[in-house]
Amino acid sequence: MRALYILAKDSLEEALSSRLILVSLVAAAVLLYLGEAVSALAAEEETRALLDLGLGLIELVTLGIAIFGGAVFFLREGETKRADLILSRPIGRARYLLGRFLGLALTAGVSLLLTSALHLALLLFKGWLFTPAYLYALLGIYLKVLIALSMTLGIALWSTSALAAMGFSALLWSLGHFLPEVGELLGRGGTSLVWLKPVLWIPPNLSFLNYRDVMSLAPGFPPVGAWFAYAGAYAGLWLLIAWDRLRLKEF
Amino acid sequence: MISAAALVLIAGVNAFLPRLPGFVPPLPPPSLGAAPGGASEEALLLSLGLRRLLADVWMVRLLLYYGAAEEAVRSAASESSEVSGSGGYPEIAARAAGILSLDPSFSYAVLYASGALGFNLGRPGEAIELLRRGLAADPGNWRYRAYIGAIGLTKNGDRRGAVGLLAPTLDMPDCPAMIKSIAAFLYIKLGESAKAAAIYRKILETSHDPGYREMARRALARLSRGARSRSRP
Amino acid sequence: MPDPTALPLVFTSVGKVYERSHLGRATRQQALRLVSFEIRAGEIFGLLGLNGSGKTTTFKIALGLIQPSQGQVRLFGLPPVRAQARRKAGYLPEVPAFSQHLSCEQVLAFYGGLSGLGGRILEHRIASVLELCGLKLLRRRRVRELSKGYRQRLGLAQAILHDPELLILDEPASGLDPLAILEMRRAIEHLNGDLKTSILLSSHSISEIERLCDRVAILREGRLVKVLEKSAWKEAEGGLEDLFVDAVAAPLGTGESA
Repeated sequence: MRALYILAKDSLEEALSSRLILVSLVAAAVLLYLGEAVSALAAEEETRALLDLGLGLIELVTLGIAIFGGAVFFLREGETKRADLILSRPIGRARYLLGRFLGLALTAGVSLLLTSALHLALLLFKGWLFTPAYLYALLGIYLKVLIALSMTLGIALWSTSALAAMGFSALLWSLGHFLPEVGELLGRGGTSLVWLKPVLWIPPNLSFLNYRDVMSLAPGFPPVGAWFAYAGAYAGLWLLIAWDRLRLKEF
Repeated sequence: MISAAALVLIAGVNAFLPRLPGFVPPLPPPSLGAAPGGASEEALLLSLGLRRLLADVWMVRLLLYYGAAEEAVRSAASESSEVSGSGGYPEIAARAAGILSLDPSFSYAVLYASGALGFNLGRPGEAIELLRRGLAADPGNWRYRAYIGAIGLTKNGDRRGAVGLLAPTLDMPDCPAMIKSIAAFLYIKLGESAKAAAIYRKILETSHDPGYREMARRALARLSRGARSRSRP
Repeated sequence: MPDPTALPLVFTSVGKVYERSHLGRATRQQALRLVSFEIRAGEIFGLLGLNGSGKTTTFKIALGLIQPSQGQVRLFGLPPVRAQARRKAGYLPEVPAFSQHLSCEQVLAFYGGLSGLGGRILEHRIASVLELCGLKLLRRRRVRELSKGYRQRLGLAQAILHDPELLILDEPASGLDPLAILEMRRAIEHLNGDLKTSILLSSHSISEIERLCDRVAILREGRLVKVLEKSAWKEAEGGLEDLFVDAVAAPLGTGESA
C-alpha cells in the first residue's frame, strides 16, 4: 500500500510541478468568463445555461488532463529511463501501474475540484441556489474521467503512440455518449451493418454516469453505488489490459 | 489472451449494466429534424455528452428567433395596448418540441413557446399541443395544465378566468417574464392595477432580461402616474 | 522461497534477441548469445566490452527489466521478474534519470519508500548515504540544478540506500571528472571492503576495472569470450588492456572460455 501511495503522490507532484493543472485552471477560467457572456444570451435562463456550460467545461478540461496525462506518462517514463530505476526496486509492474493510475486520477481530481470551485463561485454570485445535485453531477463527471484515463493507459501501452492513444480514447469517449444514436443508425442500415453492432458493446456507457444532463429529471438520489460498481468494473478491466502489455514491456 | 478476455468481459459488463439497481435507460435520440443550428452542431454536442447544453443553445436560438416579436410584446405591455399577431414564426412549436426532446425537464422552453403561441400569436391549437407533449414528458408539471386552461379561456375571451389560472404560476422559477407581463396586462385590462404593479415589481426584482426590466420600470411609472391623476380632485 | 545460500547472480546460457518492426519491416538483433557466468558473494565482478557488446542488456536482464529469449537467470535464487528477488539489489544506470523538480532528499525518500524503507530508518539511511556520496550540503538542491557529476552521485546514493547485497553499476564513472572518479572508486571499495556488498560493474576505463575488480568478463558481439581472474591480468605483461584487446580482436571461436 505504501508503494501505491508513494507512486501516486509522485505522479501528482510531477503534474503540479509541470504546471499542467495551472494551465488547465487558467483555460477553465478564461472559458468560464467567455461562457458567462454567452450564457447571458439565454436571458432568464442565464444561470441554467451557465450551470450547463460550466459543468461541460469542467468535464472537458478534466478529461483533457486525464487523456493527455495517461497517453504520455508511461511513454515518457520509458523514454527518460525513470521506469528503469523504479522497476529495479522490489515493486511489481501491476503495483507500478496502479500507483501511477491513482496519481493521475488524483491529478484529475484536483483539477476538477479547482475548476468546479471557480464555477460554483460564479454561479452563487449570479444568484443560483445550491443543490446537492451539483455534487452528484461532479461525481458522475469524475467517474467518467477515470474510465477515460484507464482506457487511455491501456491504449497507450499497446499502441506506443501518444497521439493514437489520445485519438482512440476520444473516439471511445464520443461513442460512449452516442451509443443510442449509433445503435439507431446501425439499425437503419439493415443487414449490411449488423456485423458492427458487437462493437457497440466495448465503448463505455457514459450516459449512465452523465448525471449533469439529467439532474432535473431524476428525483431523489442517483444510484451512486451502481455508478461506482460500473465505473470500477469497466476501468478495472481496461487497467487489466494495460497491465497485460506492461508486464511484457521491455525497458 | 488476457487482453482479449478483458475485452470480452467489458462487453459482459456493458450487457449486465441494465440489471444494476438504479439503472435508467438513456434518453432517446432527439428529434433529428429540429436542429436549428445544423446536424453537425447537434452531433458534436451530443457526442460530448452535452445534451442539456445543446438544449440551452437551442433555447437561445429560439429566443433570438422570437426576439423581435417579444419587443413588440414589451412595448405593448408598457403602453397597455394589445399585441396583435396571428402569423409568422412558423418554427416556434417545432423548435420548442426539439428542446423538449433533448431535455424533458426544460419547462421554461415549453411555457415560453406555448405562451407566445397561445397569448401573442393567436395559435392556441399549437400551444396546447406543445403543452400536452410537455405533460407526457413531465406529467407532474401542474403549470402545463394551468397554461392549457388559461389559453383555452383566453380564446373564449375570459380574461379573469385566464389570469386566475396563470396567477399561481407567476412565482415559479420557470415562469417566463413574457407570461408575467401578459398576466400584468390582463390585470390592467380588468382594472386591477395593484396586482399588475405587484407583478411588474416582481419582474424588476427577479428578471435577468434587461428588456423586461425596462418595460416593467416604464409600466410602473405609467401606473403610478395614472394612480396620481386619479387621486387628484 | 528464496534460497538463503543462493549466489547473488547466475546467468545460464542466456540469449537475447531484439525483434523490432517498423513500417512493416521486421528486424532481429542478437544482443546476447549463450552467456553464462555467476557472481560470487562479496566479489567485484567487471564486465568489459566494446559499445554494443551487450553490457547494458546483461544488466537489464539481471534486474528483470528485459526478458531473456533463452536461458535462465537467477537473482538471489529467484527469477528477477519477481519483486522479491530485487529486494537485495541496487542499480545505477549509465544515465540515472530523476524528476527534475525533486530535491536530493526527496529523490532518496521516493526510492527508499519503494524499497520498503520508512520512518526513522529511512531518514537515517538518507542522511548516511548523502554523507557517503558527498551530497550532504546539497540535500535540498533540486535535481535540475545538479551537475552531471552530482547526479551520478545521487544515482549511487539511491542504489545503496536500502543496503543492497548486490550492486549493479553501469559505467559509474561515465562523465565524471578525475576527482569524482576517485571518490566513486573509494565509495565502491568501501561498499565492498567494509560492507561486503557484491558488485557487478561495467566501465570503458580498463584501469578502473583493473584496480577494482576481482574478476572480469569480456563480452564481444553478445558472446562472453573470456572470464579472467585478477591474477591473470596481474601476471600478463600488458595487463588487462592487452588481454582485452586480444579477446575482442581475435577471430571468434578461438580461445573462448567461461
